[in-house]
Amino acid sequence: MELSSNLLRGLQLLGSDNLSDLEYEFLVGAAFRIVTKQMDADRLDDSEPLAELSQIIVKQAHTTILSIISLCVRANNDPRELENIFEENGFSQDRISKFVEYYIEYLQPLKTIISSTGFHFPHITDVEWRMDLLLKSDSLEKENTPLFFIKFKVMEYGIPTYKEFTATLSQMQDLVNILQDATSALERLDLFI
Amino acid sequence: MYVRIARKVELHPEVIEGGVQALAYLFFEASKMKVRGNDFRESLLVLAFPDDLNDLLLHVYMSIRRDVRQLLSEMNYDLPHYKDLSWRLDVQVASRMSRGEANPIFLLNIKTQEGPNEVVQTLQTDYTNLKNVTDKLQEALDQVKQPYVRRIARNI
Repeated sequence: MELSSNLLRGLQLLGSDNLSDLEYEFLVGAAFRIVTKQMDADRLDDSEPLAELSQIIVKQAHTTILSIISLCVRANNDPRELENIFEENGFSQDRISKFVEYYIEYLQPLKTIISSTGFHFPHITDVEWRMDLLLKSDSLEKENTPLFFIKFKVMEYGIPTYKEFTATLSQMQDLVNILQDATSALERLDLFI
Repeated sequence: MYVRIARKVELHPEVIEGGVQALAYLFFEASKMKVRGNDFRESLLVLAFPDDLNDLLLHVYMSIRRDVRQLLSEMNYDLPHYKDLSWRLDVQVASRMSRGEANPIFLLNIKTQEGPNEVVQTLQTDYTNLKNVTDKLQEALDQVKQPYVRRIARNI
């Protein structure tokens, strides 16, 4: 795996004696927690265990860890590859196993976050419907036809919006037929179900 | 137009205009109330027209009734309603943030009529959500066959 020179320098720092084992462990744990939104990034600045270190070192170590995490999860690396990277850069066995431990623990949530990052069209997640019987209106009496109200719940970058419209009986039948066509298209291909 | 017809039948154009408007009103009201053929004929008896004229009026009424009702329903305020749906199935194999993962994605183009505008919106969904949505809407459609709904529709 090709690593940039910045990253290599960062790795030198991370594996060196400039960081104590305790500080290293705290930084690694914090990085994983920050990426999975379990911890606020601001808390890193005034954390107790890192009081001895300068801001610059903390920043560099933090970004290095994040880069490694992002590279490995993106490429779907297994822990063996991760170990190789650290061994090549002279990390102690203890530090390697600490990192890998966290990596394995957080791999699934990281994958979820990464797969939902990226651009896509607004995503339909749910539908609500309501059926009315239209009796009459000011221009037409004796309608007596069913009227459906359909509301799609659409997620757009984490923000829910709604797409709402009505349909008569025949329009509804059309719609349902087309949707069933679509679902059976994938079922016929027999993949990923 | 009224003047031309009036000249042909040698009547005053205002008479023609009045007659046409009266007939239009008659047909519109009858279509609006969805008056049955017999009832329509009976109400014409009040006017003491000759029988063949009544038959003619009934014939015209029955033939245009459906179209007039269609026209009247469009005149009412229009809620945004469904027009068309096209779909397509893609498989996403990679993106900047993920490699080596195959994700089937459905793209849906929903066309709705919102007042005078035709709105097209492109949305996406995956198989699970699509199946869920389809099942729920099928359930909605099945409600029409429910005895409860049938009873209400019949008794109104």
